[in-house]
Amino acid sequence: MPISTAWELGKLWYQDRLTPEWTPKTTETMRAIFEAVGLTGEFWRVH
Amino acid sequence: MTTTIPAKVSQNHLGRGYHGGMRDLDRTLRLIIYEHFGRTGSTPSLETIATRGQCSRPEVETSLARLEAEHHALALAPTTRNVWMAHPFSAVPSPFPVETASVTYWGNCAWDAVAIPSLLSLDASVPARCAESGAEMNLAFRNGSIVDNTAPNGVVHFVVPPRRFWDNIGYT
Repeated sequence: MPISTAWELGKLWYQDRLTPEWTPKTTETMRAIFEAVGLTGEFWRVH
Repeated sequence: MTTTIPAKVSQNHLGRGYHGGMRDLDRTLRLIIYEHFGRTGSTPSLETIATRGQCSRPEVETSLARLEAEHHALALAPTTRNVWMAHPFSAVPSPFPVETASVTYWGNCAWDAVAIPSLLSLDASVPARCAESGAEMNLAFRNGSIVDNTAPNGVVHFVVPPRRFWDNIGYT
């Protein structure tokens, strides 16, 4: 993927990492993040 | 710019309860590790984690094992059981440095490296190299944007699909 897409993905993926409330991402959250940056298709299927 | 890291771990997080699918101790120790990474670019020792978490060394080791196995919150070095990765941070130098005015961080991979400036709200440079050709790929981040990219056609290559990230996190 373009570096700009990886950067956008990283912002969404890690945005809560430094918060006390962090919990592991649900399947639904992962799917929503991938879709938000245009990552669809078999490779990005989360289950 | 200032970071979003809590200045200190609040006493409110030092309980021994269980909330949101995670034990309070696990939540506390995870936060201690991330705060240390964000401030220094390195992982705290197990002794430091125990001191700051107000718990014993065996409790730390058990908690970190849970954070790895149950929550995929970090990865431990296979032999020492020290913190190896607290994504996007790497506890050991990697080909993906993230240089800020005061601290050099290490990303576990190219994706992690470009995520660190945003995560910390810091200006940074990422002097990386193409894994295939060895060509320089210098990136600069300022005020939350990519302001320089010496490889505008460069790509980040994911080898492992997300559903398999944790099958072998070191390889991923």
